[in-house]
Amino acid sequence: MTTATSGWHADRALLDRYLRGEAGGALGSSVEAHLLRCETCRRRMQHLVDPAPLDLVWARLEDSLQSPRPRLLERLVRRVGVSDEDALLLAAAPSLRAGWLWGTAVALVFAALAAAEGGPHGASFFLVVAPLVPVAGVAVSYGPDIDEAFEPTLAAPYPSSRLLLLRALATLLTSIPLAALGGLLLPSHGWSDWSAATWLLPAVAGVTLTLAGATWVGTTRAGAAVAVAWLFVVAATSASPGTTAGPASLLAAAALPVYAAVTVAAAVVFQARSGRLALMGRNA
Amino acid sequence: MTAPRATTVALIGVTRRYGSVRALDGVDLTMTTGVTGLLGPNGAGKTTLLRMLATVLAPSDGQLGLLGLDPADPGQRTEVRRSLGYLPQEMGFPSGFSAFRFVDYMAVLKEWTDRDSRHDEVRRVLDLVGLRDLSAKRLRTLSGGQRRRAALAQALIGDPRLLVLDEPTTGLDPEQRAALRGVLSAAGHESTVVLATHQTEDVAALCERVIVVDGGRVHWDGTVRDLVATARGKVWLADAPTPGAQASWRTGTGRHRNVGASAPSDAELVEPTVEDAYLLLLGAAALHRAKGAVGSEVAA
Repeated sequence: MTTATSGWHADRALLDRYLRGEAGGALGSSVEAHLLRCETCRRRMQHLVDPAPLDLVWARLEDSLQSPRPRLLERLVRRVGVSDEDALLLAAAPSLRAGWLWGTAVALVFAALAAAEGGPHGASFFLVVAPLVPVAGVAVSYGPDIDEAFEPTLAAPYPSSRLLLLRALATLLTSIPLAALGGLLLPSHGWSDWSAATWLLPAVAGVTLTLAGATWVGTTRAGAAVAVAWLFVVAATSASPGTTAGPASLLAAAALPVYAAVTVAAAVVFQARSGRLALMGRNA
Repeated sequence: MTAPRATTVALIGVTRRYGSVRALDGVDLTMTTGVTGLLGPNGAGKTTLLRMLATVLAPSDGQLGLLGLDPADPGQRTEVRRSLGYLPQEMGFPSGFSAFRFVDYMAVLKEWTDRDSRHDEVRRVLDLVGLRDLSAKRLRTLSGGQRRRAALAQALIGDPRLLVLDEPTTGLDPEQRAALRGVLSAAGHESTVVLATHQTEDVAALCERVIVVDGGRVHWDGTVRDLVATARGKVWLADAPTPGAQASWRTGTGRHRNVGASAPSDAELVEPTVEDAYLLLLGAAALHRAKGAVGSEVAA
């Protein structure tokens, strides 16, 4: 501080050099040490610094402090290429929270264990229950009974149908692996390897039907109606005297085109009526 | 001479039915920029009206126009929503979200796609409602008033041209309410602000215009000053309740404040408030229904 200070304070020229990074190692360190204990020089330097970059740094610091670490699922969906914005929209969905996913996993494990004790019919029991898992997930992914902040969400310009589809897709992608893992617990009773996955088609058909039904009665009621209808069909098939395979016949190759047709028809209905979701508030 | 302000809200014969119940019954209204207060007892139709203005509920009959657009048309409804802020009467928050994260979530739904500018806006509205320092805290750990302010912050995103607020001051302490009045009166310079409330003092302090709704119909529509003027000469102090007064209560001074259609000739008349005029307007039957809603304020 002996060569370039006025008295005990750094002068303008020295502060300018310091700010430009041209003060050199020893002199720069001296100025820095002086600034730490000299309020007058700190104030003088404030007027020499462009506040914009500092504001930006402060804003980023605030961002990192105010944005808590995203949850595991949110981090995972970002990893697979989902944008930060879509990941945030998914994080608000009840069906994608840890509690729901754990509940789903536990229910499937119990279903699989029960199926393991029940012989061939037990296995088919699991395979007809498994499609209901994604249906239930979609039923609790969106709607006035589900979303805590539903009305302001509805009043925002973001398309309701896109939000529902985004969450339905994410629910499918999380519940299907869980159900598939449950399927691995099943004993082999004459099922071929691929047939343990045949429940996927009725699952997709059920989800699409739920989406189509949601345009009339909302997701929760539509999901419940689809579940009841499916269980009714299962019960009727089991009780039918002409059917020896029981519920397994619902997953036979002959039934699969029916699910494909239902899926396509429900998708068409959803596409045609999805605009109605934009006005489906509470008691609307 | 100032130019007439453009109509931003127009209702022509708007009716809304829930089954056989008419929540709104043939309402005609127009609004421009400024702050309008909606008063009325519980079940009067205020929330139904606000939900229509917020585009989440369609009229059963009649015509509704918002910001010069027709919300019955999907494309125009989306356009209205781009200029709309809405705070419902009751509102929850996604589990585990902080105030910042929640307002950020709502900003995404309001099409703020650029992360930096969105976060700047989130900080701005949190600052407006006095929650900037608490924005990192999880909402479930905040008080009811703080959560209400977080809910209000999302409605303020983007300085909406139409701001629809259902009981915005519920749960706020007097200091917070005063601060909020400043925010809303500033918003009313450029925007149409419609708020429903049971707090008549908020209406008196904030609103240029007041609309009193009861039984799904508009019972009063005019300036706050004109509403108060309807009660002039009909509010008086006495040492005991006056028989025949529509409402009477003991004040903090020990004397009784009486509100009624005709004051005794020797009555000590006092300057009426919005609340006095509101009670007189709705009459005895409505007063009985409204007791639960306004009783605490009356007693105070």
